[in-house]
Amino acid sequence: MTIDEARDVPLLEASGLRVERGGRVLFSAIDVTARPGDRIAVTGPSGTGKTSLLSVLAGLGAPAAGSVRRAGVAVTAGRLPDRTSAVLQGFGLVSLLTAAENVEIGLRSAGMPPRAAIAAANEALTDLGLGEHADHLVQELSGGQQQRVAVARALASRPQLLIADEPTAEQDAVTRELVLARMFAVAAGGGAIILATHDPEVSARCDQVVSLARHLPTHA
Amino acid sequence: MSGLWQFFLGLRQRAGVSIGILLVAVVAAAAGTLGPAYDAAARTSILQDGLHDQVPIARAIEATTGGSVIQLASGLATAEAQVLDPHLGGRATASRLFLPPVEAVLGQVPPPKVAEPTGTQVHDVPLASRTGICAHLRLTAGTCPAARDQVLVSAAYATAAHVATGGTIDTGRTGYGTLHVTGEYALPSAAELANDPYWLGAQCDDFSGPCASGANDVNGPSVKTFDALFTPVATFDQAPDTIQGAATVVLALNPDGVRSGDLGNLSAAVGELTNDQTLSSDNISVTSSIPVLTAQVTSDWGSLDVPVLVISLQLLLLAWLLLFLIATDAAEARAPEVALAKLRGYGGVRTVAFGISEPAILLLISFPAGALTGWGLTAGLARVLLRPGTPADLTPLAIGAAALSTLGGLAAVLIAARNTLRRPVTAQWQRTARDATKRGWVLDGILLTGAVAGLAELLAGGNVSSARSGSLGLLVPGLLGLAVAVVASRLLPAACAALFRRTRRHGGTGLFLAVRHIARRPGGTRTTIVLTASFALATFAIAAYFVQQGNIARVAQAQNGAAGVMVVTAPPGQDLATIVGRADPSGTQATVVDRYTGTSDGSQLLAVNPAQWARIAQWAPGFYDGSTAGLAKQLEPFPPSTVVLPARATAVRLTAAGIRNAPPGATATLWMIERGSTSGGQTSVSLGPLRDGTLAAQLSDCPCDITMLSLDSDDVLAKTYSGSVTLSALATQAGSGPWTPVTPGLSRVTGWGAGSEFSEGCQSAGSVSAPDSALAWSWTWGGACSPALNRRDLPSPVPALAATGLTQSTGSTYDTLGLDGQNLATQPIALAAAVPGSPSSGIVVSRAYAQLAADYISSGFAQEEVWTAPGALASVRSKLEAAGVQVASTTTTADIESVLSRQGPALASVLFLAAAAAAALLAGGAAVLALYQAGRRRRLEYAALLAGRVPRRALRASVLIEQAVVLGFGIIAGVVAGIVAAIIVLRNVPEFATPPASPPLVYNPPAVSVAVPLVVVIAVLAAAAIFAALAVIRAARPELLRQGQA
Repeated sequence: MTIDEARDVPLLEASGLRVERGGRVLFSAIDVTARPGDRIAVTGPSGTGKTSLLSVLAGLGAPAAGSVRRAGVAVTAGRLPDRTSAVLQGFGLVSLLTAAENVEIGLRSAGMPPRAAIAAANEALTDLGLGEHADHLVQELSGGQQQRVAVARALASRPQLLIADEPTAEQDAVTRELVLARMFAVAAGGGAIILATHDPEVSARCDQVVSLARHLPTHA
Repeated sequence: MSGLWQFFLGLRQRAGVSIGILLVAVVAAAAGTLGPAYDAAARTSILQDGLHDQVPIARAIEATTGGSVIQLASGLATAEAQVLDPHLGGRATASRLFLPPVEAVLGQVPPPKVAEPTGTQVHDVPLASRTGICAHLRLTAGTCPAARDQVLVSAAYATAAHVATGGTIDTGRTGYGTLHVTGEYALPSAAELANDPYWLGAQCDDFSGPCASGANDVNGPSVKTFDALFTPVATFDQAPDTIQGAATVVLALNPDGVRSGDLGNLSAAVGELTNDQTLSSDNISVTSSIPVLTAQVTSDWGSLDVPVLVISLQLLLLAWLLLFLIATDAAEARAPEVALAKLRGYGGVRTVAFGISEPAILLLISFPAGALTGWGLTAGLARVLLRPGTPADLTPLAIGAAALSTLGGLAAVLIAARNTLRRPVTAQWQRTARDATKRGWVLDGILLTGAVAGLAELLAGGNVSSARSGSLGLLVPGLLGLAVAVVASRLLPAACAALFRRTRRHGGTGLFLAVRHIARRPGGTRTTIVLTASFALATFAIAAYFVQQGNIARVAQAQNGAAGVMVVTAPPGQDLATIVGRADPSGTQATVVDRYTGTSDGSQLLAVNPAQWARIAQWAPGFYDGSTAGLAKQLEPFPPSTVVLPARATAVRLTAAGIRNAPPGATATLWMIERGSTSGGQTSVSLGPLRDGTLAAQLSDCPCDITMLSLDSDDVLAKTYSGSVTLSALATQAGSGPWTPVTPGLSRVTGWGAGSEFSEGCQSAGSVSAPDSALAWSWTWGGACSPALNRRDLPSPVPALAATGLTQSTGSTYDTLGLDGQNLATQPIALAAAVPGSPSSGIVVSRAYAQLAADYISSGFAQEEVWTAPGALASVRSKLEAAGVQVASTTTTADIESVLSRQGPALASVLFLAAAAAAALLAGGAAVLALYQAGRRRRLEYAALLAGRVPRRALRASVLIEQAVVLGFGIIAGVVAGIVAAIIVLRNVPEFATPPASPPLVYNPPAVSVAVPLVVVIAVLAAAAIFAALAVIRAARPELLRQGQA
């Protein structure tokens, strides 16, 4: 299959998504299609459902309506699909593990041998400028460092699809560029990235923008 | 209202921690209440046991005087009260403490004119008045005497004096004039005389029998005594003032009226009374064992107070420590709210009030709840452990202790919350943890230093590993447990950290996560401290309890001798063994034991049927090392080879032949013991002059055991006669019936020996042989030493089993006193560390030998007992009573166990067990709760891991491993510390109010008994831990992450 042919097969295809919270419709009729090389930004004011949309796309939650298919297969709620990584808003790190261990545990669970996982984790952390903090407990790291650990964990498994919730929100200008570079490299390598952001500069560097508007209070 | 609503909302939100605080605070307050309340109840129980279980004489004051019988007793009572009442705090207190006084006056009237055997000493008849006598006697005829000169007589007296109701008794010149008999009474039973304080002293003063004056003098002449004539006190008060008599006033303590607080005054008052110079100068003698009794009770209290205090403090400290740990979690859980409060401008005091309001209100609730719980527990323990009917009061001291416990809990909460309350607002919401996994050394340092210093002090003070006994040893398990706990809580994270490298390269995700969580959880292993310390206490308490119960059982078995022991009196003229043999033909359910207690060295002779006794006596390991069946054979190597002249024999004869060189006028006398005689002793019948041919004599009161055939001369022989005679054909005749040969009679030499009639100062010389079924006896006879053919039915010295408390060697002769109170030479053939029935001072011989050696004489110090096998007491007793045996008292091993179990040390041991078990469960529960809370706080992390493809089973394994390791390590460390403490200190911890000299106590904790309750507790905790682990993982759902809370 050529790249062009590959682009014809969506890595992720979501259609007609509707998400409710507390009986309130956050958004509805949202379609998202991510093809290899896509960089998709999800934008919108706070409370419009960016995190919820990413959670549904990542398979961490089920939509009230609509469907999500990953490489043509329906996504099961409660588990990241194969070759998919996510950077969550709260990072989802294990506080009593070191940065390296947090990265390793994901790799090991994906079936990577422990020694290889150690090496891959160190490489991922070093790539994000955290080499010297690899053996620090994440709860000893700053918020920005913890966020980069989360990104490193997501990238270390070399995902085809990366879903990230405001992955640069706690980064300074330099590390923001570093983080974005590493994440966009996924798309450059034939994968896709979907990220939520408030940062216009970040959304400007994406191919598509899914903009969520505040819905009027509508009860399902 | 809104504050209260907020409080309840907060409780709901932090339900786990809130319940934990409430539970632990309730336990702390209950521990505070339980100690003093239980101590007060146990003191009452000990006091009541001390008062009820003593013989009457131990709890009475006996005042005696002599003089003119007019108002002699009432004057004595008045004089006594004048001294006693002020010291007791007045008449009302005295009336509460003592039963109504029993005033007795004793005079004498001449005995009835009755023919008695020559040489019999006939005593005067007691004339007695005794307060309320008719309420204590059973009248068999007539009415109670109500006026002067009226008397009640015993049935025995009536028979002997040939007097009946309506008759008169002439008192001769005694001054009492003629007494009018208004009725007859039956003698009180032996049990009544022994156990009813009313009869104190009466057995010897008022009734004939072994206790009556002169009856015990086995060397003296025969004594004839009579039962008292009971008369109203008016007989004495209106008698001539020249009549002298004696008066006794008995004041017996009323057990139900004595309270714990009375003992000091009581002891002092009785001490003043017994030493009062005025009374002494008035010829009033006062004796009492009450000071001894009060000292004993006070000593027993002492053995309770210290351990109760030590135990309560340990439980309290543990509860406070737990409270501190849980409150720390609670404070952290509320930290964001506290920070918000500060942002809203709350001042210091208001912030503190806000921050600790929840635990403070919970503590406030816990105070009454804990006090009531402690009271309820006290009531429960009292019902199970203490003397029936012992009240369990919620004393002011107990309430105060509960309040103090609550205040201590509040202090623990304040200390726990201080970090949270002092933390700057900005630090609260910093994402980076403030102290990460660092754990302070301050608390650990204080605990370790305190524990080590305490252990060193106990060691230096001799409370550990020395012969010194003291309740402070009970601190050892707590201190040792604490020291081990602090070290263990440091070791566990280190051990887990050592596994980091390995688990990073090998193994599953579960173990990978678990070891890191254990090693790095801030303050997480502090639960190990509480867990280890409490399990050390629990293990020690369980071990101590079972060791003590084992020793109580051993002591009870040794002291009682058999499962049941009855002190009995056989019907006159009947052998108790024969009656018991009919009641238990198998010889496996009951056996007779004669006990002689009159020795000056404290030894007790137990005369037993060896085979039966060996079967029925209780032998615990360590009492006797050999085979008891073999011992029985050694004690009675052969049955007594008695030559018995049968019952109903009225004449005896034998044939003498070949008399050679007998002094002129020599006569022969046959000596024997009449088995039917009530008093035992030898009696003799004259066979007449010694001559060839048949020698015969009349008999009465047989069966009789022949003891001797002596030759006598009226004169002291001037020269020595070496002569001989051949004796044969011993036979008896019943009435006019045929002569019946006595077997073996004189046909065998076995059992016969040549000697002298009186051993003192006479050398026995002579020989015996048995040619042709006859006994050839040769003698050397000179001076005043009459030759005798002695029946030697038993080995001399008598084989004996001796307590090692009496002698340490076998083979040599051990002289003691036999059943007749005379010297009995025994030879210990075996030694027992504890002799059943008389553990440290028993010397056991064959009853048959002992009776023969005593010529069937029974001293007043000899007591007849029937020992029964387990479960046989009731049936044997009923059969014995049906056979006319009087049962004076019954004691079972269970009775003794019950009494020993109600002594101070045993009561303290149970409290320790209950407290330690509660502490272990509480600590275990708190540990599970802490782990559960920690798990819950990680549920979003787990959700993220689940979302990141970490299998749920791996997370489940992680939490289970964490729970298992933390709980397991703490429990194992605690159990090991507890066992070590038990091994080194149990022998120092008092188990009895008065340590028994024997049997040797065993201090090895029974492994199974200790393990079973521990396993149960551990199983409960394991179930709780598994449940908590599963709940934690179940609560972790990736959907949580959608809300962006991670």
